Amino acid sequence: MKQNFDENIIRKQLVIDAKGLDIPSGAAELFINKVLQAVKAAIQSKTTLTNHDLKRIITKELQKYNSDFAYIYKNRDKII
Amino acid sequence: MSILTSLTIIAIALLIIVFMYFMPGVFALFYHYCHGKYSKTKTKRLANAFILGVFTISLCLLLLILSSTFIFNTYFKKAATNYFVWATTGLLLALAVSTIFFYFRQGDGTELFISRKTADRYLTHIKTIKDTSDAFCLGIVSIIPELLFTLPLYIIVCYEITRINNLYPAGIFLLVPCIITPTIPLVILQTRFKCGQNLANIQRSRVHNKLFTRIVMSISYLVLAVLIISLRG
Repeated sequence: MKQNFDENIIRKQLVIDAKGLDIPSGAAELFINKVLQAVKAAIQSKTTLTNHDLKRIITKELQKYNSDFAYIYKNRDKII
Repeated sequence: MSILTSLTIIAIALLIIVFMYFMPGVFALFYHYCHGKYSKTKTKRLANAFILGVFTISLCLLLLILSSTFIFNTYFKKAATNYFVWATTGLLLALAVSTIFFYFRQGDGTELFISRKTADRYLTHIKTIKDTSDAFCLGIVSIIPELLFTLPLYIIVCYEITRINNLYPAGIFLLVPCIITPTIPLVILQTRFKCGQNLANIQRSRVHNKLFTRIVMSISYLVLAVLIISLRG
């Protein structure tokens, strides 16, 4: 599925997840900025970006900083 | 002996209800999002409203089924009871097989048998909860998708309660553990969140215990079917 990238929606979602996981707000802000930078870089190198691509890029980037954060982002829709 | 049999059947039925995955999954997601958006006090209030919703719907459901069972027992007596026992046994055997093959979807998560569109709707609802009335309603509706697996159990529990005639009205007090049972996994989850665990830890343990849950539920359905057909048939 083709995805329109909206930085604010992703940022909002990641902020909620980070707070839900009790990640300190400063660290969370840092992680989220790094993730969004990686997403922007990926967008520039591609003509289309699917939902799956976006999820994979974000998960891969989050995995570098916090495994719980990455796990929840990846598995959120696999809980129920 | 009859009372002991009834209590055993009720205990096994309640054990299966405790092992259900949908409602705790909804609650865990709900608590995670509330914790991410609101203060600790508001999160606690919303979580309590959710549990109260589950408690209320369990109470209503059990009272409805109990009154229906009383009417059934009064007007149809023995002949229909035999049909009821055979039908229930067949249903339990079907559920034992369904639990093994259909309760969980294939994959590395804990995706359940419900349609993906329904799951998405629940997720959207969870994300947009703002006040206690929303949380209460979510608690009420979160019992519905699992009724396919739990409704026969509620019916069996009520049927066994009505059989314990010599304990009446004390038998009615058996309703209390039956009403509390669906809320037990939620209270445990709430305690785990309060003890510092997060959704990632909880989901990992749910995935880890998936096979165990599947086997225990299926065996419990089988045991229940055997008990009912051998002792009530």
